Amino acid sequence: MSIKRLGLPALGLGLGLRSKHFNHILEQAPEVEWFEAISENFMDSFGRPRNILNQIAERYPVVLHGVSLSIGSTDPLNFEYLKRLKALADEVKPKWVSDHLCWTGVLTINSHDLLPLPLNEESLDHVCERVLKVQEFMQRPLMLENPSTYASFTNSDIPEWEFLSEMTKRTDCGLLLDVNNVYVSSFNNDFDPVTYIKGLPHDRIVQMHLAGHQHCGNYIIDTHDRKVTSEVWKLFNLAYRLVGKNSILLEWDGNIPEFDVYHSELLKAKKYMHENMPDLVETEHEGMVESVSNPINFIPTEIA
Amino acid sequence: MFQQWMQQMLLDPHQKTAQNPADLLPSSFEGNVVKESSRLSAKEHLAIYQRSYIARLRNCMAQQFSALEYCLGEELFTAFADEYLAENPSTHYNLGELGRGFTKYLENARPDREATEKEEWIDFIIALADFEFKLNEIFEEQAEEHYKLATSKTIKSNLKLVPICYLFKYDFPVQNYYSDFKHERTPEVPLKQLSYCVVLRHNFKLSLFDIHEEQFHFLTLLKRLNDINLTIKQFAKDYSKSIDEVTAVWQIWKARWIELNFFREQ
Ligand SMILES: [Fe+2]
Repeated sequence: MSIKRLGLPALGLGLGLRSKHFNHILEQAPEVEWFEAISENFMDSFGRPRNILNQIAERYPVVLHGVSLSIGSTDPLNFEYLKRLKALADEVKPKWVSDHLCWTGVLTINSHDLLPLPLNEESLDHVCERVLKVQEFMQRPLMLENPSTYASFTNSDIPEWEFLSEMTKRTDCGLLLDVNNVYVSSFNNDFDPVTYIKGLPHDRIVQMHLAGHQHCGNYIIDTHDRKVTSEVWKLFNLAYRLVGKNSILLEWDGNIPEFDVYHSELLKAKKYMHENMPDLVETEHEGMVESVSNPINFIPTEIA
Repeated sequence: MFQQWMQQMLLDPHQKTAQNPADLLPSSFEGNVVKESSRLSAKEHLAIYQRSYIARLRNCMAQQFSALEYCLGEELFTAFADEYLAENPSTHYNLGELGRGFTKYLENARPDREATEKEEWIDFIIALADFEFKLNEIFEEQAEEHYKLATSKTIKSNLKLVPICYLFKYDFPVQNYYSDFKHERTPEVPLKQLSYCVVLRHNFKLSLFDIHEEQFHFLTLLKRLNDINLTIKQFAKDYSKSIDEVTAVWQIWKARWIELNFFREQ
């Protein structure tokens, strides 16, 4: 029997750390239970962003979330990247470090997108071997997140939830379940999100993500630029009841609102944790001009 | 080979380069690799990735060169950014590196490259791109942070420039333009005019100041010699002035520069 959440703490309700909110967080010390920082925004930073992350890490639990590990790539693991990531982790002392089940590029190119993998025995072996190497190098368990996907492949023959289950068994890694991504991927690739969530190893889920998406009619883009939809709250309710206490994070990367708006959207999660949850009104689809999926922000330079 | 194929489909959706994705995977038309779904064809599935790849990187370039984007207008900036990205796909996990070659690209891409008479506004956008990228680097640079700022009482031999202090010289008032833009004014492309500025970072914040040519020369010497007396001496020599004359001017500059956090106390 494995230990629930790999023995890691349930941090409660957290927010993504965005440069727009740096001053607010430092000055107002809002009552947020924890923050998640995008590793790549700070790894090579020795200026204000890194300094602020260090200050925030002194006051709040922090988790590092990466987008460039490229665990599924056929390129060799980038140990220069891992070295920088480890140095950041040694400094910030995050509760854990996470990334995505994806590849970001090959032949040393970085597409800065979370690209989907064919899911089969071969890719499972490949990913597991690399997860073990990363964990050994980092001297800590890795949490991997299910990405939003917009395509699946003819040579995939393992459902994603089974792939993730098997991966956690073979490597003892943890899972970051992005409930919104399950919804987005299920719509785009014709699978049942409820079967997916029920099929996961719930004791391995350390963290969850929530986010808003954009419905474009016959596909959905994971835009992180608006409120969480009613369909996703429903799935969150199911997932939370199956997993129990963990660490819930609301992602918001495009059209980032004022801090209080962001925080109040997160706090809605409290209403959807129990069997008796409030009725949900169907979310209306808005904005037909396609936005960018998983926008990742460069931290802009500020001048006095 | 699958990953090379898919990456090629994202980087070069219109197959402008010699690398044909079909050569990378034997049966590589989309349908053999990507599954169609109830709502979308294989091609449409792939197209979502193709659109978001370029849109994401364009956004990032626009954030990295925000004043330049304002100057060129979105459409022209995007055209340059797209061509640059097609020629220089990202190879670094740090998005801050994305625009590293953009100034060089603009220099090479200028339509009047071969002409003897160069278009002034193109010179300006190249200077602006250079300045913006350098500021991004200075903002994130590693440097000593825990030092004491100098005051009017600091003795001359203990007066040193703060660790992050850069001097720039451009053929245009690039600093004014950039600062105006950042402060939400709406600057117009300026006329050619030799301009000097200093960029300081203190407490992780950047400050930008225009200086004039003599001050630029004085600070350049001070950076190199790291000593006020030697700087005054050399400056007097370079401008054929007496030490007393230079010292008098220096007293005025010093008071102002100490106020603006140019100096630390050693
Ligand atoms: Fe996520």
